[in-house]
Amino acid sequence: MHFEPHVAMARPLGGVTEEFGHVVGDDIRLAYVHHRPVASRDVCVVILGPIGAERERAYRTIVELARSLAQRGYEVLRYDHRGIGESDGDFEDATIGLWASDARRVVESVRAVFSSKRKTTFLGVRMGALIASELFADGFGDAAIFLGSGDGQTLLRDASRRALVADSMHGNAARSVDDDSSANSPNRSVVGYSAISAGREARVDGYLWRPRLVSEAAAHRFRKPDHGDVRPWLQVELRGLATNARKTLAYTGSAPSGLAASGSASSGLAALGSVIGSDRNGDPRTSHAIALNAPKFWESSPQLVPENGELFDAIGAWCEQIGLEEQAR
Amino acid sequence: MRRSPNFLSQANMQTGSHATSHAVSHAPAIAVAHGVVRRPAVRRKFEVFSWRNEAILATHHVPDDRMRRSNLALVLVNAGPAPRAGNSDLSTRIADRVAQVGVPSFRLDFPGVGDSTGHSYKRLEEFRLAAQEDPLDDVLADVVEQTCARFGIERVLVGGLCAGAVVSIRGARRMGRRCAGLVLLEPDLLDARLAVGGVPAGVRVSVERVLRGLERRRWTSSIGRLARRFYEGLEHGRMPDGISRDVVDAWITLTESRVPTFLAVAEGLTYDTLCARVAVASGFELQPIGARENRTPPTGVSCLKLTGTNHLFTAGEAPDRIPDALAAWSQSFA
Repeated sequence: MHFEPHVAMARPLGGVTEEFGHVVGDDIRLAYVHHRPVASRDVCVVILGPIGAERERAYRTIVELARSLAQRGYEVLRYDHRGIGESDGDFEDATIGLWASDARRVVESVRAVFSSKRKTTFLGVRMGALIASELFADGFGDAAIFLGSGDGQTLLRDASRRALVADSMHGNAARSVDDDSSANSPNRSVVGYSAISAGREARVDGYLWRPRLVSEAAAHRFRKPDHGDVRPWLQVELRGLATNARKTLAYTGSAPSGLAASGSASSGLAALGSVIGSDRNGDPRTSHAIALNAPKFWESSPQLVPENGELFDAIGAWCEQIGLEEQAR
Repeated sequence: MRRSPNFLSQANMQTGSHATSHAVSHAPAIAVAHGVVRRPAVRRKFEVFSWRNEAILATHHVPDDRMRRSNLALVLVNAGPAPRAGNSDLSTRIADRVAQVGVPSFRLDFPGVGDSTGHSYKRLEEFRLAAQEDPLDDVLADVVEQTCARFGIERVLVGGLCAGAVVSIRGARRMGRRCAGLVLLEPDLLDARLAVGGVPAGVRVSVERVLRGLERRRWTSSIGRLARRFYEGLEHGRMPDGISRDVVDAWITLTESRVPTFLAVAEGLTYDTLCARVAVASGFELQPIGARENRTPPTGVSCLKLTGTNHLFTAGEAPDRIPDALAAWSQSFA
């Protein structure tokens, strides 16, 4: 794959340039945005986003997150999966395996372009997190942040359930495209996930789901990195907005984990410190997870772009930590 | 793996003056071979426009070089929170399909939405209000002028879904002859200030709101439908209360000025009933259209009613039928 830039715009804030174009392979053109800081650090963040309606809801938040990271000095690259948004291809022909294969090729190209000296960090959101976990488990990338940890079928079931509820509420339940008997009826047959997985086609959130998408999804499970993995990774659980806005912390695994406080005088690390409280006694390279009382920005909500400053700070601080570690080495 | 020499440099980046150069020929729009429909390829390119201090990002759907060059273009705007691809990529489908019949299409992000710069809209109501009151129509009119100058386009069809349709109506009013037609998909004709509680609602507004609410819910829709018909019988010929008069008046003025409209509504839902009442009250006819090609230039309001779908057109046959019908409608301008 190679990068084919079309336009670039200079951001008024922080002097970060954004470049828009396509990453072109033999069979596909994927739309990308490259956020280029003026003075770039050693960490390059590749954002793997969600699909379908979740992409729409999360889009602006991800744009803001990318801009926030770029203003901190990180190269950020985000792109659309095949058949979705600005990328070419048909959603109907896509599978998670195909998206993962595209991601692999994009990441390989990024490494070639950004120079292999830069540390590649995956930032996966929902479906992007699943794909990032697979790539990371296969040895790609130097660090990873996962927002969401669902398996392939769980993520698809989630999406279809939400679409079904919304459509049923409005009397427009999703229906099988081959169900001719209901074609002219206002009371169309409801197609649940079980029917889809049994081989029926259906429109979910406007996208035509083919049986292959669902059957193939069974092969994709979220692969949480080993605690023995020396590469840093962070699993962020967003718990939604709670009335009690107290920050909570939950660790996965039995090993004590957290980020080292040493050499962390920067404001970014201070922000992360507030998230993880006083449990900063672990090895900075130890795998860990945090939970935040922050909105799940990919879900439907009256808030188009929720306040996610804390999340942005936490991710920025974590990236900063990786950079400090690299410098120390 | 091939590295582009341009990546991380600005060489060869388009700044706007050399985007398209269509060969002028008359290749058929659609070829059918062995029963398989093959449509001309469409290339997508990104464009940056400017408005005041903001950078406006757009996607340009470039028709196949073999297509006859069109001096007409389609410009689609955001419906609200969704980026320029639209809800479920509806705008992308429409732009692809319209470009396949030779009409270049553009989808743009308003300031604060999608990839454009600007302060993000935090709540849906903020965007609805902005669509009716803020200078988004100025953004649209300005970007349309830049588009025409950059690509040698003479006239445009402007449109969008929901609040995007509102901005399109307001923008078209400013464009004068530049606007060849309106594309209104479930236009949000309700007064946004009432929706956010900015002004007190009157009795008629409240009654109409309750009826709409009843009709929207699956379990009360038939009762709601009956109640609405009875109510509309009493109200026959009167403009519904609670609508944005400024927007509706602009639409009526444009229609009277012979600017044709492509109107798509979800049958039986809010904007179907509202548009029907506006049409009755203002004395224009909603002409039903199908997906078949129409070779005569459209006039008046051509209406596509879709059953079994929702306000965002993400259910039923809407994602397929709207692009086809709109492509046929756009082609008839040639």
